[in-house]
Amino acid sequence: MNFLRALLAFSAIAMMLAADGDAAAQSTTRPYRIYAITFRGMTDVERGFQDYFAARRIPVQITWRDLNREAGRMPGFLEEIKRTRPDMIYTWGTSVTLGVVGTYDAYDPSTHVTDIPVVFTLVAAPVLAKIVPDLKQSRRNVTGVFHVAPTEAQIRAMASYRPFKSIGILYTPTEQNSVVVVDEVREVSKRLGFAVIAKPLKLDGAKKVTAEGAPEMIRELKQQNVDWLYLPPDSFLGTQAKSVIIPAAMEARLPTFASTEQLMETGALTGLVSRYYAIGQFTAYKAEQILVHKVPASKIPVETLTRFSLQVRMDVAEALKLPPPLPMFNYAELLNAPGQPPTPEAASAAPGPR
Amino acid sequence: MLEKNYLWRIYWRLAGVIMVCVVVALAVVSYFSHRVFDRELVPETEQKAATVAASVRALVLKATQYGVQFQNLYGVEQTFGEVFEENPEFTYAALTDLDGQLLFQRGREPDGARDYFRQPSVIAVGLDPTATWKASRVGTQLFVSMPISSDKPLGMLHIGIDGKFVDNVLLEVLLDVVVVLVVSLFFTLELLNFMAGARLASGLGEFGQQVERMGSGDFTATARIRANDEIGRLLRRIDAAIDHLNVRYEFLVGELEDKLRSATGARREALKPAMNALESIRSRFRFGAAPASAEGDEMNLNRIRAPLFAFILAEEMTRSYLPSYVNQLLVSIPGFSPQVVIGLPIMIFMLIVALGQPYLGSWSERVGRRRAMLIGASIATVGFAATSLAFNLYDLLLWRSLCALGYAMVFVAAQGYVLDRTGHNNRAQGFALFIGAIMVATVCGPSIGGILADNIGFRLSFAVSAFMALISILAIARLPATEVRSPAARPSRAPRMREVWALLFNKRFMTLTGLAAMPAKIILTGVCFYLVPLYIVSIGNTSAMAGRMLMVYAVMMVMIVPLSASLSDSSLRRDRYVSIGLIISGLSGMLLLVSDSFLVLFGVVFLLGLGQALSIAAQSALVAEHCAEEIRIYGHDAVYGVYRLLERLGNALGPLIASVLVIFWGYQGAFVAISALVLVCGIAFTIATRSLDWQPVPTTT
Repeated sequence: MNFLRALLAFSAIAMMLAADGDAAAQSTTRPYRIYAITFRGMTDVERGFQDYFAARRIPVQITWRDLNREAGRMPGFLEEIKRTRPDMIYTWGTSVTLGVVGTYDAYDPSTHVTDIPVVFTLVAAPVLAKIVPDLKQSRRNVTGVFHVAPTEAQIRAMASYRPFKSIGILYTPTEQNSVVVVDEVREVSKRLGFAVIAKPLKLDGAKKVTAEGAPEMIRELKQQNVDWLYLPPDSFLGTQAKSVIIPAAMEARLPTFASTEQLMETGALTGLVSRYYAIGQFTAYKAEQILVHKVPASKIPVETLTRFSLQVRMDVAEALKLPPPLPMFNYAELLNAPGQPPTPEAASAAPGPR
Repeated sequence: MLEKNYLWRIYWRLAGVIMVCVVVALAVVSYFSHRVFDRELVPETEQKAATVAASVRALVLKATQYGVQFQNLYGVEQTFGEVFEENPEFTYAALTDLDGQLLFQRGREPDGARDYFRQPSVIAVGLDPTATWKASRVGTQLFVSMPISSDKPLGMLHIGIDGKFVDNVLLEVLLDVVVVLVVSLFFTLELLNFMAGARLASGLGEFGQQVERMGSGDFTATARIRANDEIGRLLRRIDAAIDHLNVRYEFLVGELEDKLRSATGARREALKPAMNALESIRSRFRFGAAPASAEGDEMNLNRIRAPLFAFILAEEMTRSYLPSYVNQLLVSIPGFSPQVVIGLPIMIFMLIVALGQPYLGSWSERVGRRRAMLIGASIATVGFAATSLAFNLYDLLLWRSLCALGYAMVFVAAQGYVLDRTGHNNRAQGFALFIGAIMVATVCGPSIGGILADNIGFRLSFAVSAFMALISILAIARLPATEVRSPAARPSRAPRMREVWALLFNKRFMTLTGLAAMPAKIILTGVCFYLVPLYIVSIGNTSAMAGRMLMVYAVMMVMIVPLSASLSDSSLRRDRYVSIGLIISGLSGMLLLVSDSFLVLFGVVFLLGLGQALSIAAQSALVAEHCAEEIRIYGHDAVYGVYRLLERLGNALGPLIASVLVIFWGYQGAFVAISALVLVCGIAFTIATRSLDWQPVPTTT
């Protein structure tokens, strides 16, 4: 319990990082130029990213570009990068990052960026996505931040909400990162003693993944007596969660556990996630290493936060009649309380009894 | 002439009055503090329960504000469990609705709880938005009940405090008070002896010598510096009178010589009677200046008592918590179970003391007793200080070895100091003083040490021991620097290997040593120094409790040993005392078969103390009795040397045997098994000595 609580205790990474004070080394010279590409518009990650520089008084000039989920926009961005030659590139998510730097074993120097440092963020599994070969040293002009909590910590968080004997998983069989997480869950299940029923989403005639049949699969899972539906850090699942997966789960009265804040936002009951804002701050810290301290990106480890936030959507809990256990009110971040929704900040800052 | 015993009687009477005053004062203070405690404890505990209840209530209210129905709360038992974990005195918690229906509960539900929940007065509190909390007794528990209401009343929270908890705390306090009382008594006696007794003894000794000298006609003037007390002033007046007498005598002699020189013939004849008279005075009395005397304070045995007490106290203080401290610094040694490793420092300590003593005896003779004690106390001080800073088990073993070396040095040298200054007639008295200082230290040490360890921690407690050892250095430094050799004391020597082997295979000697002396020591160190401190802490008690246990043992020794020593000399045969003692010791651990409560452990220590006290005095006397033949062959020193060596090896074996037993049978099993071992030895000893009939030999040490 205490392990979990320590892990979950909501923390602002900036407090740890801002310790050495003002890093305004460049106040008199020109600001650092950052070219930032997002996947689906501005999120809390970008807010944390910008706030970090502001708090540290590091002058930056950020050029924001949004892929808006259209891979066709990428060549234009790459062309602009080569023309304007920024000091650093910021990439949001696996798709954008791969579009800018390619995989480490098959990138094309003529299209991909190699001579400008790239800092990625919100990539669930950077090694599996072949962005970097090793988390400790990228061995290329790339570093960044990933955002998924260790699988076992997620499973334990799930158990502390409601103990279970069996969990169901829906995943995209063509997404390597999802497949690997499913394997990890199976690994943990052997140790902790529970059953895992994992169902891959269907592929259409063109071998493209489709959400068709997903609600039926969820009903099947319910009939197979799973206690939870686990949502892995799966990109396609993320796009379908709000419209298909979560409504089907709610209909089947199956509680859902999210592995990312994005999935949490689509309406999952609870999840152990990295706060996007803190992820953004941590990404900015990596950027600072490159821009201010002139550390080569290849020497900066790819990391995630050491603390995660346990989020609970109270409206979902109410609808499922599954209130969080009483001790969880001490440390969980409670979202969307029915009636009088307090802000997440106020909820997490409310003094606990101890 | 003033009777010396008369003054001693006055001293003891005075000491008695002081002790009575101290005891009465302490008893009054204890009584009132206990009453205050009694009065404050219950409200304090209730207040604490109310504070905890308020935090649980805050959590419940937070949940309801987030939309969870009061009746549908989940994981309330889990929260209660966390509360119990942090507050072991709370044994029950419950959440009820406004009608007193039980919704959630955890812990031991006391009889009548359901009725209590539904009492109108209790429900009224739940409905009263201004009510804070209400305490009442339900069954054996003390209930603190608190209303839960946000904008409207929701229900009630009840927390049950274990009634035994309050009683236990009060008992703890009472026991601490008793410990403090006993320790202060012994301390007062010791201090009194140090401040008044030792000076009185030396003053009286000096006075007695002076009177004796004058009685034998010695009126030579001494150039002694007299103390500024009653006896000193008296002596100074005697000195003045002697000076006056000497002047008168000189004047008389001078006048007579003058007259003799000037007188002639008949006049000279007339002076003859005066000359004869002067001659007879000269033959009967002595006048003039006395030769400088070595005799005096150097012979005072009492002065060894304070430094010895301080030094032994330093070591004894660590007894009640050393195993727990070792447990904290434990590093796993491959091939050794942790239980054995915990006993290792005690084993090594005892082993060094056992093996070092024979050699340190002659060493202290060579370098001088005072110097040997100074060196020993300094080494031990370093040992204690370093132990308090120990990094892990390995360096702890080294520091404890230093303490052991220092302990052995001081012990042997102090023993030698007493030997040097006593003859055959007052040796027993000298050793009584020596043993007395150690006994008092064993009464005071473990209990104080336990209280210290609980309040300031193990490391600081060791620092206190280092400080005590440092004080003993200062006290030793004040001992007379001149060494005295008693004509009665022969140079001591360590037993030779040949003698050790011969005695090891000697049936009579080993019956006594192997079946009585060694088992007695094994159960002593195994139970008192190893099992009791560890077991007590393992069942959730404190080091202070372990200290109290060891004090019970020491008090038994102090009270019973003198009794059994005089009894075994007169009434029963000595070997019967040893038999009875061993069998009682052997039965002690069996008590744990009955129950595992710490009160039973008091019984164990009590019986063990009783058994040991009965047999301990008789045991060493029996050596002379049983092994007269061996003493004739190998000599008194060799037989006693080997006896002591084996006995002390028993000390080292105790923790080892106990720890191995713990591995196999756990703590309770180890208590029982080690007692059974001693019981078997006791029975075997009884059978072996039953048919034999020895002539009692006068006690020698």
